[in-house]
Amino acid sequence: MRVDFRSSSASPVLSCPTPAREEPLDGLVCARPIENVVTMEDHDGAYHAWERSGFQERILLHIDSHMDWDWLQEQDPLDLLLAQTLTELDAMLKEQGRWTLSRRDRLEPVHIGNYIHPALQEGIIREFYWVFPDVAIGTTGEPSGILRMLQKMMSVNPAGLKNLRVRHKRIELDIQGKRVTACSLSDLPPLPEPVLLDIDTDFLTAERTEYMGTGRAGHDRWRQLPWIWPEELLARLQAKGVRADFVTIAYSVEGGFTPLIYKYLGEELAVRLTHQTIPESYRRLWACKRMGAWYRHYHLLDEAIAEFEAAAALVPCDASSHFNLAYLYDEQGAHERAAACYQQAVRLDPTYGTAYNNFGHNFQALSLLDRAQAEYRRILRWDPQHAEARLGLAETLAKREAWEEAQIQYHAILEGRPDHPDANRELGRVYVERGLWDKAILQLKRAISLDPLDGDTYGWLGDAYYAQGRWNEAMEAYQTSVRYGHRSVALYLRLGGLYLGKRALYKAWKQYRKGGRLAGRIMLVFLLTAARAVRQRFSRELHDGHGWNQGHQERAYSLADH
Amino acid sequence: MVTDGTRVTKNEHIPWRIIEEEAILIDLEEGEVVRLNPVGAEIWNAIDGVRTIEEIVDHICRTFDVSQWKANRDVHRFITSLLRHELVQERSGV
Repeated sequence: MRVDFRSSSASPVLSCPTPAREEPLDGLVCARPIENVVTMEDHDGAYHAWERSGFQERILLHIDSHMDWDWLQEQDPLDLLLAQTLTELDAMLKEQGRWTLSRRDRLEPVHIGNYIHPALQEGIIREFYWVFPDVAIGTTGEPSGILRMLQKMMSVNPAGLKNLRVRHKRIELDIQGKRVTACSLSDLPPLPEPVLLDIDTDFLTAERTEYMGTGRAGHDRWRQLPWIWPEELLARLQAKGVRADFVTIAYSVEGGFTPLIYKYLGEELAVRLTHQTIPESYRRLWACKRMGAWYRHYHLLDEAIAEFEAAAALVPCDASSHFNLAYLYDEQGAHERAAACYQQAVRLDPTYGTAYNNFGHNFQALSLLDRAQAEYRRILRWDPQHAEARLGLAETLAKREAWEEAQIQYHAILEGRPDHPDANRELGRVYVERGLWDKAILQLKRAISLDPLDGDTYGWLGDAYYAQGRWNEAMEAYQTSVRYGHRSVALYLRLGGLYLGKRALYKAWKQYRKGGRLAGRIMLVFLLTAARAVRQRFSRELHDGHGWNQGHQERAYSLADH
Repeated sequence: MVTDGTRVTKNEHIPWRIIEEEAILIDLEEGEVVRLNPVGAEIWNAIDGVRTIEEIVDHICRTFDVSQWKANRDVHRFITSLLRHELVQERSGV
């Protein structure tokens, strides 16, 4: 069977329409090339780009699967002691999300999850619009997942987030006294001036399940299609009259947000925004890749290969074509050919060798260990020296308590990269699990010398000392583990027991209390997750079976308005 | 056991500062901010590893309008509590 999507009404190949209007075109998206388009891997680069350009009091239009707003957790809790008055101190402490009182040396102050905070704080941004993907809108017609997320943030810091309300399908709130609006592309209101346009490539590839509180779905993400393509996104922005004079585009592959097979969509956005006329070679390249993605989605491997081969022939230096081909050949069982394509992609663009060039992490997070292992083994077929894929494989083996096999994999990594901190640490953990205490202590000490700030490592070291009856060393290791952010019920119980042994009753009681609270929280999260799953299922049944959607939607909005 | 002759020192890992007569202590180990009222702050200030509990009690009696008996009882309780929270440490052999 061969499906010709080019003649289908659902053809992904759209053109960016030229505006037929007499309004000023200055900065109108797609009407004129935008000179300042900055691309980056990590989205916090946008903040640094705005800062460098000296922007002040601008409107930010943030198009992203994620809000990327969180409080900056000031690196140093000692800043609290700079308060001049008790009133000032109280005000600082009320902003709970900003302070982490235990030492967190590892934490970067500005990162991909919070870079909008400093931009608001420093006056770079005066108003912030977050456009979330249409797929965030649930079956009830409302972005309830996003509303829940904001309500949760508000409960953490009621002083920082205020006036949360839903109006005309837009969620509005005030953050640090500045107006924030979250809405879908369709509900974006007219913007009065040129904006800082900030796009994350993961906006295009978002999935509905991400917003249902259930995380990513377990389906084959290699066959996923974007819910919107770059030219459609830009056409819709243009139709909304969005004007921009500075654009930031993040790929966000690292961390598993944008699938690497679609990193090129970010590049495509950049080219479309910076060119008045798109060169023919680019148009053909994108058309081929899009067709290839569609064929891949329907598992038409020959057709998909033909399209990506055509793309590679058109622009031989385009790494993404080769990378996409690697997967397709692999699916056909042509492993050598697949490996050659992968290696060519990495030669052309070394970022294609990233730890996130497969979906092992996603499957691992979903506890789909077989599928995670298949992902890691695929990368190892293409590149047997790929340390991160081997690490992932070893981790899944360890999760299955296949300690000996995991140990073999960790040793294999360390043969090539003796200073790999994660492999050193995890090997130490395997020794702990196998009761090889002396080996574990040596190995974990080596891991600490390579990464002295990892709380888990100290925790396992504590376990090894504890097993050997070396109480003082165990206590010190556990205390350090807590200091570096490791929290577990078992750790608190052990630490409590050690304090008890030293007759430090108050300290022991505190550890037991912390362990109890943590266990309670874990249980609460479990119950809430289960309740949400039941509610979602019930809501879907209502929606699917009884046609109550309309009424349900209206009730939910009126509740939120209150 | 805290006695009149006990000497205690501040835990050097606890950063602190006096703000408007209150002592603000940050316990990084526990992730807590500890606030001591003006009397607690005065005791905290007086803890230097040299003065005995008895001397601290005298100092409190001179600073505040309080009976020796009450000051003695409160300082002992307060320092026992500081020791339990490991905000101060007992100093021996001075």
